[in-house]
Amino acid sequence: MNPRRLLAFALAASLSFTACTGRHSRADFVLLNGIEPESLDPAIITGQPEMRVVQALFEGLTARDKNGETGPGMADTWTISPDGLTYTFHIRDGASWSNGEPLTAHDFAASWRRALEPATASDYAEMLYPITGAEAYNKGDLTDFSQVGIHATDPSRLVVTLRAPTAYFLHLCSFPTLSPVWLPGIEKHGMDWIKPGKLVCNGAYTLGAWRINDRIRLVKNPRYWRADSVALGTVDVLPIAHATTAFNFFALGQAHLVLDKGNIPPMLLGELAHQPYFHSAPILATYFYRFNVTRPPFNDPRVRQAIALALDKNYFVQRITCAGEPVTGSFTPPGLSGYTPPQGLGENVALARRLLAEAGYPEGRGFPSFSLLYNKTDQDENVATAFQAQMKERLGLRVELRNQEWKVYLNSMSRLEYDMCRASWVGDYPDPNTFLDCFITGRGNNRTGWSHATYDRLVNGANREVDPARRYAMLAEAEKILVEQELPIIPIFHFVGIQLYDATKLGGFEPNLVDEHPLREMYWKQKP
Amino acid sequence: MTAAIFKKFLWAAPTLLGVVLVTFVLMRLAPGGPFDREKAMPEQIKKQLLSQYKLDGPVPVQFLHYLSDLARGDLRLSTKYRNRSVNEIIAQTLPVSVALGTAAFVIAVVGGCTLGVLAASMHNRMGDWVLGLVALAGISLPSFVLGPLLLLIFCFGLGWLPPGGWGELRQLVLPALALGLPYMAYITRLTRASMLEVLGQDYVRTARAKGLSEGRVLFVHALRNAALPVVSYSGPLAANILTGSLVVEEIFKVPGIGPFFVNGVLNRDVFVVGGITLLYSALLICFNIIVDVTYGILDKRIKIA
Amino acid sequence: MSAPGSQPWSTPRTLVPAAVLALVVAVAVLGPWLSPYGYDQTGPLKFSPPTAEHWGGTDILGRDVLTRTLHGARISLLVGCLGAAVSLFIGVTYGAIAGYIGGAVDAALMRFVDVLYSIPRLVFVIAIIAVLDSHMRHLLEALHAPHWAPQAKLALLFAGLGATQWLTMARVVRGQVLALKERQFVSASLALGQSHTRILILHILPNLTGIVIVYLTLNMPVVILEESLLSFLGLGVQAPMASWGTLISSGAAAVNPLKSYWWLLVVPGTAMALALLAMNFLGDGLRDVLDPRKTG
Repeated sequence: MNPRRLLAFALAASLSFTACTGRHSRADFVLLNGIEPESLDPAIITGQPEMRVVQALFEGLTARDKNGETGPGMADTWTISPDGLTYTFHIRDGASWSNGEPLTAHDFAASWRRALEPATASDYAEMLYPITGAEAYNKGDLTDFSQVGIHATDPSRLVVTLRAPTAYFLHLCSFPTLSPVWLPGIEKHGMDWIKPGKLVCNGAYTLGAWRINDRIRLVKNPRYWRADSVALGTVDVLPIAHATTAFNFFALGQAHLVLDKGNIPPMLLGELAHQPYFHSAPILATYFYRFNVTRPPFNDPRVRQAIALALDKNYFVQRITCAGEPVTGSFTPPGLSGYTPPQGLGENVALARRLLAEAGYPEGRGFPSFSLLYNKTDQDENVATAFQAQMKERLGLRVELRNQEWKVYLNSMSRLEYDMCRASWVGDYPDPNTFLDCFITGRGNNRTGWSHATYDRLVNGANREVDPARRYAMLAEAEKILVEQELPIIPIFHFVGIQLYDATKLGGFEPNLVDEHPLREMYWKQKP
Repeated sequence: MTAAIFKKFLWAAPTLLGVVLVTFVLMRLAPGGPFDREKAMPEQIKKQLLSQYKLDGPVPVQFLHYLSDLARGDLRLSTKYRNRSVNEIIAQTLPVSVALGTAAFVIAVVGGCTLGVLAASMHNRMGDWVLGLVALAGISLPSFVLGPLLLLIFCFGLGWLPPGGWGELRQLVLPALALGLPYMAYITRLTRASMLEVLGQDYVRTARAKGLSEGRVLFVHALRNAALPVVSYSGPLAANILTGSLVVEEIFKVPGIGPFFVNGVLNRDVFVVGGITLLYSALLICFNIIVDVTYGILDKRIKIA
Repeated sequence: MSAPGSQPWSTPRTLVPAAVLALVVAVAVLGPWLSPYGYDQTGPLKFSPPTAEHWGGTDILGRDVLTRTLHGARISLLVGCLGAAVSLFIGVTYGAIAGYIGGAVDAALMRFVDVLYSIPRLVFVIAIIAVLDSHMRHLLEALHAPHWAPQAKLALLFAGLGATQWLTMARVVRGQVLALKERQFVSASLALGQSHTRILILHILPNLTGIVIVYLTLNMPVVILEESLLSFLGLGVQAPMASWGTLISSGAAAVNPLKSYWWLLVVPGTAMALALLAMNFLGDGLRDVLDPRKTG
């Protein structure tokens, strides 16, 4: 190789390096946010990393605060009819878009319509299904939008009619899918409307920059209605794919806050839990195992109960996950006001053996070897390995582990091509329905083949019930069937939200059940 | 020679076609679709998405539509990053990987040739063993170990360099080393092996007998001939190294194109994989033509084609 | 360079690495009898550093790291040997034919290599595993042998890795043959009336031994490393089996500024580095012995 040519190469390299990066000043606050957002379109996004950014850019009729409580957002007041079916929202005076245009009830109606249009293909359109006609419109069965219960009667009044009293509808109004979007921008720029320089939004921040896998720069929106209370002027949101890297960035002071469990190296959790900057709190999410109840011997509830009773769930959380996760017998996490989930099945190996014998497999004899399906992450693999050891030791059952890459795993799960599999579920809103709805017969998220008429009747009935106490009683009864009698699933533990930050310096951050932490409330008690 | 090169360019089209065909078919055959998620999606929405992305209907028809879009320079949309076209993803991330890759390439080739020549000149002496050991250690470490080790020394230990990121020259050093060192080790061994063959040949003895300095004999006369395997290796190396590395770019948080390759496959992001594979193979063809030309210049005994 | 008259096979350059490699292979084969623990046997000690009971420490589930490293040696060596053997056979045959015949055949053959080259190996391996896995599974269930599934998956891994690794070998061999066939001894042999096959096998292939051995010894480690990359992506061997790759990739997180469980990386890393070093050194040593110009 010619040394001169190589020198020229090196020079060109360093030049293109400087050219393609550009300088950026350090932001007031740097947040590590998990993977690169798939989109920032409120109607399209599905993941937590996306929602964190979108909730800084957009605000719905209601908004969540740092404690996870739902309060006024773009609507300052609302009234609910006595039958719980009609909500009338008043859009606050002076509500405006980041370009200065006034934000009206018509913007909301048009944005919700866009989310429901089949062509938008919104994953979370079902968040609007409690509204009359919304489901039919989304599925293309209804084409006349005036029949959908969304009506802007004047610029500041939005009237929403529900098909059944939905106790959690105000929570839904803070969900990103129900955010208003600037439709003239979408018409003008097409799918690029969400890019920096083009995006018009209504939240606490605007989009300053967005480079793939590099950073998102958020800049305070001076036209936001409570801009006075927003302390952090610029925020850098860094996508990060590798947990060890995320921790290095934090430990070396390159980032101020690490959200997302995926950003914490699992091996270090036991050690990290003792650090002053480690914070964790229960969230609305459950780790569980599914049975494929269409395959014998798992079509026998006694077998499913036996396996659940034989598990030492404490081993999983104390030995492997280590972040203070509570073990559980119920699918619904505790802490939802008004709802007390059933106890579920505890650990009882003797009873497990007896049930297994009753089902025809004394000491596990004659029980076919079966597989446990999971997608590979260190923790899932360790839990699966421990499960395998416990089954062998306690019931004499032979379990074969089966690891598939993510998309294949999802495919196997929804096509019921498994015996048992790992799963997790994150609640979308603080109400038991977001959990219990999954196991209604034929639901896309059921994925166990399980069908139970009484369960379906109870959950569906609960959603037509206006009286909260009766409603929760019905849901609890349904859940009892799910986790104490039938067990198409074994709930194992509830997740905790994990955050790394220095609490002596960062204020406006509270652990909460919905694991949402609005940037607009954070401030520096002491500049780092 | 120009005719031979022209012929190679003609071969490029069928090669690229073959690449796109095999990639597309593999991606569509693998179980699991681009829109499968943890939360189930209503059937009609999935249908809508598949038709929007022209992934419905029989696979051969899908492929032909895809080809006609490719012919117009439209690499289509990513199915995962739903507001991004593949063209945009490449435009934003490729320059980063090229900058990083060029630095790593220089490290690999300059370092590898130099160390290889030195090792050969000290054949069977202490220096040869030490260099051999260093080179071998470089090959024996996976990049996901080498990266953290470099961090351990230069970042946590000495505190000289940042843990990653992109935008300052300091942030280029560690990822370039992590990317370049294994290839450097490989080239060291290649150079050493072929230098040893060349050093036994007559013209080297002649050059020595003429009283030329040892440095000149080694680096000019011998290396010129011993470089053939290195040259043939550096074509694919350049294509490889310039299109980034999943491991290095993820560990050092470099916003390059590398992760899109592997993650595209895992996400069944068929057009991202198709587009990047196409880019990669076009680069490869170019570099291989350069290799053949260099071959001809270095060794007049070889006729091109 | 070995002194004239010495026995080339018994130089320390070949004996030392050969002995190390033999030791690694022996330990890998005898592994299960050498250790009091099973490779998948969990225990009460979490992240125990090396002690008298656990020479290599334990992992998060209390499994003995040394035992798992020995078990990993079997898998990794198997992957390396099979992958390299496949690459040797296909690569040399393909490359020699292309280079020797030359012309349009050469161009066509090398274009095919270009196509395969341009498709990232990972796409291949992932697709092969994903597509064939479910078929394999149905087949095993039909044969009433579902518990063979992990082994079947391992075989898929060999197939995928091996069948994508021969391309470099083919390219290099072809380049060398292209140069060699222009040499005088080839035209001399042709003038003497020897057949092309004979020339290829008797005169050209022996001249390739050096470079082929270098590439082979480089290829085995490459296959082993490739498997480790798949493990890093979570696509390696099926737990609770372990390869060096899976052990090292989960141990790589041990390098961090908070708390280092160094044995998780050092124990399997040392084993792998030792084996790969021995392979490479052996290749070097053999090269000196087998090079036709030196022995002949």
